[in-house]
Order: sequence, then C-alpha cells, then structure tokens
Amino acid sequence: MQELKVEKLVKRFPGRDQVVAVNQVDIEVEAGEMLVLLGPSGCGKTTLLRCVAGLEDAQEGRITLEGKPVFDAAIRFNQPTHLRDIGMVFQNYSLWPHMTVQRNVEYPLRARRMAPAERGKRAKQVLEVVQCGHLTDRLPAMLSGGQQQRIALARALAPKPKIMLLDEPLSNLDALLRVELRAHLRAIHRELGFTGIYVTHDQIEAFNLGTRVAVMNAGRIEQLDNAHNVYERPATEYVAKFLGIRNSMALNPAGGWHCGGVKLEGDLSILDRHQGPLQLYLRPDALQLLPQAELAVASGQITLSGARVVDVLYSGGEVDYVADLGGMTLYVTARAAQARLKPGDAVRVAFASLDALLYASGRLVVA
Amino acid sequence: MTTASAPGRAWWGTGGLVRRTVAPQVGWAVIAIAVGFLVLWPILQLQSRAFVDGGAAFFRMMEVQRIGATIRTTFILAVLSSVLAVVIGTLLAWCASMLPQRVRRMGELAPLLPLVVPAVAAVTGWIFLLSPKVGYLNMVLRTLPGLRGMEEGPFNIYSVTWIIIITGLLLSSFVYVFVFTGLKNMGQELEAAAAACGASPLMRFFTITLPLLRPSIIFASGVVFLLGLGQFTAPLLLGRTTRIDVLTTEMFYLTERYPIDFGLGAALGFPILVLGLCVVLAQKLALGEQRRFVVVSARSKYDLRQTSWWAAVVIGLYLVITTVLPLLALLYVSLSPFWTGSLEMTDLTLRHWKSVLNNPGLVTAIWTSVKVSVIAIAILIPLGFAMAFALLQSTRIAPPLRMAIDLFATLPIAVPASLMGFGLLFVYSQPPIQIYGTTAVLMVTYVTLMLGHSTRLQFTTLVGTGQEFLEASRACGAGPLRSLVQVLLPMCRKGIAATAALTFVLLFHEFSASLMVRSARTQVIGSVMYDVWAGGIYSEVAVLALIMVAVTIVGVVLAGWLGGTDSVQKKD
Repeated sequence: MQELKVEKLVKRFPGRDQVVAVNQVDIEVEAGEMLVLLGPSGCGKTTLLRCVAGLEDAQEGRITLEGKPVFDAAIRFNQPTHLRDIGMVFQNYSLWPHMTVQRNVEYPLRARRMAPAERGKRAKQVLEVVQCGHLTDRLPAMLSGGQQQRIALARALAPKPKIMLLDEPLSNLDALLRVELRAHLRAIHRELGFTGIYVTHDQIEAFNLGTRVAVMNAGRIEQLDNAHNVYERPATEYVAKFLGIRNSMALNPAGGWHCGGVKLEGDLSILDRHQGPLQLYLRPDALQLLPQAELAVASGQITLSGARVVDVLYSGGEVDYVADLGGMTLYVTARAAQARLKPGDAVRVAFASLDALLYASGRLVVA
Repeated sequence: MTTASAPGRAWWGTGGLVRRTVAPQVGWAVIAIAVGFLVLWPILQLQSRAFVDGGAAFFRMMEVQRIGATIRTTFILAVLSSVLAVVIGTLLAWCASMLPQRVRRMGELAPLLPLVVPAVAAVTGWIFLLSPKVGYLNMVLRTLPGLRGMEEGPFNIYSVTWIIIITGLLLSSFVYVFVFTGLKNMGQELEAAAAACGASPLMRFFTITLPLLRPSIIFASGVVFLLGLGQFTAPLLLGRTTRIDVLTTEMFYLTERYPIDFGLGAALGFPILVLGLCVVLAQKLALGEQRRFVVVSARSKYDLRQTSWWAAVVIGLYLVITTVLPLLALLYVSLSPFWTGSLEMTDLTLRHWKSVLNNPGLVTAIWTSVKVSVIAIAILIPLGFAMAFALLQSTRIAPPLRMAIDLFATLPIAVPASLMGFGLLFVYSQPPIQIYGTTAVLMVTYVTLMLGHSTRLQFTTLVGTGQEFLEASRACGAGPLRSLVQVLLPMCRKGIAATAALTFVLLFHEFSASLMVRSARTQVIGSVMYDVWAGGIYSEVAVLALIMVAVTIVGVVLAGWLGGTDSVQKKD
C-alpha cells in the first residue's frame, strides 16, 4: 500500500526571476520504505519535502497521505500542517530553547491530547530508543549537536506519525558523528519500520539509508530507483556527474572510434552498436594505467595510448593518479601496494568495456 | 617605524608602553568623567536638595493639595498605559509577521509612522477629535441613533481613562520595534517545527512564540513603563483643565512660580527616580538567564508563516487611529477660521498659517529647535560611538571605566525627561555654571537626554558588525585609526544614520525637558506651542504641530538618504 503519493506537483516561488522549485514531480512511497531525495543545494528537494509537510503551498498537483488527500490544487484544498499527522526532523533541529528535552518530546503528544501519564511514558520510551534517556531535564542549549539531533528525531517519532520527514538531519554534524548517527538511524528504521522521506545532498548517506533514491535536478526527478541501480547505472549524465564520476570523454565514431584525436583500441563491440557520438563516463577505480611498454591486454578491455602521468597523490591505502591524455585530465585510483608509476611516465589507459557508462544526448544507453 | 626601536623613545613611540596601555585608558577616563558629569551632576545636585534640613522637602510634599491622588494617578497611568502598549505593540508585531507578500514592506514600516507625529501634535489632534462638546469624532458619533440628542460626549478626552488610552497608543510603537525585531530574529523554523508536531496556530502562539519573545517583551515593557512613569505631555494637555495631575506635571507647575522650590521638585521626583532605577535593575536581572532564549536554529531562509489580509487590516486600522485621524483633525483646524466643531469646507483659510509664519517669536523658536537638535546630534553621534565602542567586550578598557560608562549610558534612559529637565534647570541656573537663559542650556539638555539612546543604538550596530572585520584590518597592518576610519565607520554608516534619524526625531519632538529649561528668550517649537495652547489659540497650535511633523519627515528622509535607503528601518 502506498503511504504517500505525490502527483504532478508544481511549486513556483514568485518574484522577478520566478523559480520553479518543484516541477511536475510524481513520487510514491510504500509503507515502511525510506525514500531518499538526493541532489545539490537548490535542486528543490527540501521544497518538495516542505510541500509534503504543508509548510509550502504548491500551485499545482495532488498529495495523498494514506489514501486521504492533504493537498489538491484542483479543488484548492490544502490541509494545514498540524492536521497532517507527520513527524519532521529539521536541519537545524529546531528544538524549542525554552523547553526541557522531556517537554520537547512530549509536545507532539500534548498537541494530540494524549493523557499526561501516558505521554510521559511514551516520551521516556522514544528517548531510550535514541539513547538519550538520561537527558530528560536538560535544556537544548546544554546539549551537543549530536544529542540535539537525537532529541529532534525522538520528538518526531514520539506520536508514531503516518510519515517521517527528515530534512538533511545530519548535515550540521562533524564527519565522525555523522557516520555514527547514520548507522544508528538505519538501525532505528529497521527496528521501527516507519515510512519516511529523507532529504540529503550526501550520496553516501543516500545509499546507506535509502530503500530507494530519487536524484533531483532543477525541480525534476532525474532518476528514481533502488540504491544499487542509481549507483551502478546513473540514468543521465547529470546523475553521473553528481555522483562524482569525474572521467568524461566525448567519443566520435567517424573513421573508427576516437576521443579527441586518440584512437580507441581493443574490444569495441559495445560501442559499435551505436551510430552517433557518445559521452563516456568512467569511475576513477574503473580505469587502469598500464606502462606504455606492456602490450598484453585482458579480453573485453578498451585502451587508449599516449597518456602521461602528471601527479601521484597518496591517500591511505589508495593512490590517485592524475594523468593527461591529449589535453584531457583523467583521474585514476589504484591500490597503493601496486602503484609503481611516477610523474612523467608514459602510460596507456585501459578499462573494462562493461564498466563503461555511455550516454547519448544526456541519457544512459543500454550496452 | 625604525625610530620605534630607539631606546630613548620606547616609552612613547610605536609600541611604547605608555602609548600602548596608559594613553588609551586616559582617553577613556576623560570620556567617562565628562559624561559622568553631564549625567550625574544634575541628578545628584537636585536630589541632595530633597534631603537638606532633615528632608523638610518631603514634609512640604505631604502638604501639596491632593498629593495622594496625584501619586496614585501617576502609577495607575504608568501601569495601565504600559500594559495597553505591550498588548497593542505585540499584536502589531504578530500581524506584521503575517502580512501578505505584496504589502509586507509597507506594512512592516507602518506601525513606526506614529513616531513621526510628535506626542504634542498627536494629543492636540485627539483633543480636536474627542473634546466632549466640539470634538469632531464626538459630533459624528452623536448623529448615530441612540446617541442623538446628547449635548456632549459620548467620549470625554479630559479624563484619566483617555489619558491612559492615548498614552498607551503613543507608547505602542516602541513595543512594536522591540517585539518585531525579536520575532524576526527568532525566525519561523521553531514555529514550523511545532506545526509539524501537530500544534494548532493558537497553541503555537502561546507555547512557542510568546515564551520565546519573553526577552523582547520584558525589555519593551520596562522601556514603556519608564516612559509611562515620566509621561508628561498627555497629562499636562488633557489633565490641566480637569485637575488630573501626575508627579511630573506638579513639578512643572513649580517652575511657573517664583522662587522655584527645587527641594519640593526633587522630593516629587524622588519616587520616580527610585522606581526607574528599580525597573532598569529588574530588566538586567530578568534577562540574565539568557540561555533559555538562545535560539539554537539559524534563521530560516524560508518564509512560511501563513499570511492573512486580516493582519493588514489590523495594521491599517492602527495607522488610521493613531496617525491619520489626528493629522486630518490638525489639518482641518489649521485651515478653519475657528475651531467650532462643525465640519464645513467652504470657509477654509490660510490665515493661521500666515499668522504663524509672520510671528518672529514662533519662527525663531522653530529655527532654534532645528539648530539645537542638529548641533546636539553632531556631539552625540561621536560621543555615543566612543561610548558604544567602550562597551564592546573586545575593547581593551579598564573594567571600572567600562562599568562607569555603562551606568552613564543607562541613567538617561532610566530617568524621565521631565525629571532630568528639572534637575538641569536647577544646576544650570546657578553658579558655577550659570547658563540658564542661553541656547547653551538647551544644547546641554539635549545631549544629556539622548546620551543613552545614542550609545545603545550604536552599540547594537557595532555588535552586529562583528569584530572580525576590525581584526582583519589590524592583521593587515592597519593602525587603530585607519581601521576605524576605513573599515568600521563605513560598515556602521547605516546604523549611525539610523541613530541620527531617530535622535533627531526624539529631539525635535522634545517637549517635557524643553518646557522645564526654556526661558522667555530661549524657546523651542515644543515650548512655544504650549504657550499658544495655554493662550487658547488652537488653530495656531494645529499649524505648529503640522510644521513639527513636516520637519520631522524632512529630517528622517535626509538621514535615510545619507545612510542608504533602509537606514530608517535598520534599528535592530
């Protein structure tokens, strides 16, 4: 059953240069699912979330929660936020500074007119879930960022809402804490099985937490799929770029496949199925640098000759090479133990044809 | 630079011990002593008069006619008018935050417009509207069924109730300034969080918004209570005929007799002084535990509070009642041959305008007002800037000096203008500094009165500017003077212009203290207006009131133009 359904939603911000923050968006979230909205800042992901919360008024479309409409532009129906039965975690946590932790967490229960004894019990219970049972009498200003984040989560979970809306909840924390809380959040989601929408610009967070991931660009959804597929087969060039696939080459079929004057050699069968020019994307770890002299090439590989190592950067167990190929800069990651190349070395670039992500007019073409 | 290392100069040259540490402290001490003298001298001198001869002045005070009623009226007026002002001001701020986008810019400024109309002018306008027999509003109301046939009323402006209502309305703009700033700084994310938790708008207002606004509301309440306590204009103009008196008007009546019984005046002012200091102290204590109000979230970029056209209606109504109606009444009376209460458009005349502009005494008074205000501002801005700078945490200044400067910047706010004026009249009308009867006394009065405001307003500007810019400038090798002139001053330009604009408004409208220290030869617009009013020439009072409004607008626009367009807005 669909917990949440968003249909043809459009949100424009008025002004001299009108911005369409959400443009004809359709999404469905199944019960118990965590849908992650992923994208750079300004792509409309937070606005979409706030439309679901009723904190922004959209201009077109429909939003349905558990089968009941909460927003319908056609009949000018817009249920106020406080009647939608949602739980929301804000980027800045938005804990009320004048209330203790206990009172903060009890607040949504008070709003739902739960009896005092019962709501005290429930608040204690959720505070235990987020491992903050010992903080009940503190004021928010006396808490660390990580604790505030947990309290904000507890406050949203307390009334067992129809849907949890999480707006970049980890983005204000330092890196180590972020990793810890991410794991904790995942465990809580598994345990409680709530339905949620999670907004982030961090792809690792998205792939860790998302049952499905929607990548957004300029108010539209570029790709909506499970984490594995989004990671392995970015549907558009935009998604590939956003995921940090840094190596991009324009391939031209005229007179044999070549790239800026450098000919491609090896198993070109996957390229030959296409006629027009293609854009090739490769992850740094999909590329290999071979000494120019080494002639043996594994089957199913494609190579380009005439590259040169420009720089070698050690980072932990890996080494990042920066190479130059006919004026193009390529980034290659290799295991540090096997790194023997030094700046100035002449090399060949090789990759498995299966790792090639090929795009024709911006969209992924099936190999 | 090389001379700095020369041993003979080490005590004074660049980096020298004396120049680096001692000289600035001497500078701060000079400022503290000068300002301390300005503020403390009149207060202490006057109050000491209350206690000579074993407090004889307090016994004389007990013999003043109806003194019990006067004290009671003073406190009732202070309490009720400030309650009214806080309620109205908070409501206005709440409405302003809900204004629809299209009218937001105008609507947010609208509640400040009553500040452009001087209290004297507003009260006079209200007299024209609500005088029991010939007030225009009363006459219109008497045409309604049920009220027809009444000889006077239904409202009588010459009553305690109306003095409270009008004082409350006059003070509500101040509350609005503080509470609205508080609302803006709070952002709307915390309310959104409550909405997401299922709280209805009413629950949000009472459980989130109002508690979080507590610091702003407490601060505003303190400010308007002090102003209400020293309230002088409305009781003087509305209470004189029906013998409703407050302590400050009693003090004023003393100055109209000769010889002036300064001891009695000091005794009358003593309770106000003590209460004023208590309020300031209470404010500091109440706001001490700030942690509860540190809003953790950053300001939201989203603008999500539900908007409502009703908000615009409320603000519009407020503007009509406080500003438009009194101004229209003033305009009509200034153009009518006589104030008779009938609304006829046929006999309108410019006679009173001509009469005022041809009266050399009145014109001189107007010019004196402008001149003295401008000179006072020229002194106040740099002085207040220096004092504000001394109050900054990062300024290296001896702690006792900082505390002293803090005290001298607070006292002029805590002591009502009428009381301060009475003290100034006392000290400057006798040796060693006998300047009563010259324009100098007006200038000293204005500087003393506004020291607090000038310092506080510029302090908020400095705090808002942030220290990093100054530190960056020093780190780039610029000396203190260059940093001040090339970095700090340009960055504070808007704040300084806003301070100048507000100070000009307050000084040009100054009535209470001016009335105390004026003499036959040195009059300002507020004091001559009172004389014309006491003489019963109401049409000319209206003309003078409108001139006050016009000059104020010119002053504010000028300051806005000098400091960038939004300087008037940027008081926070």
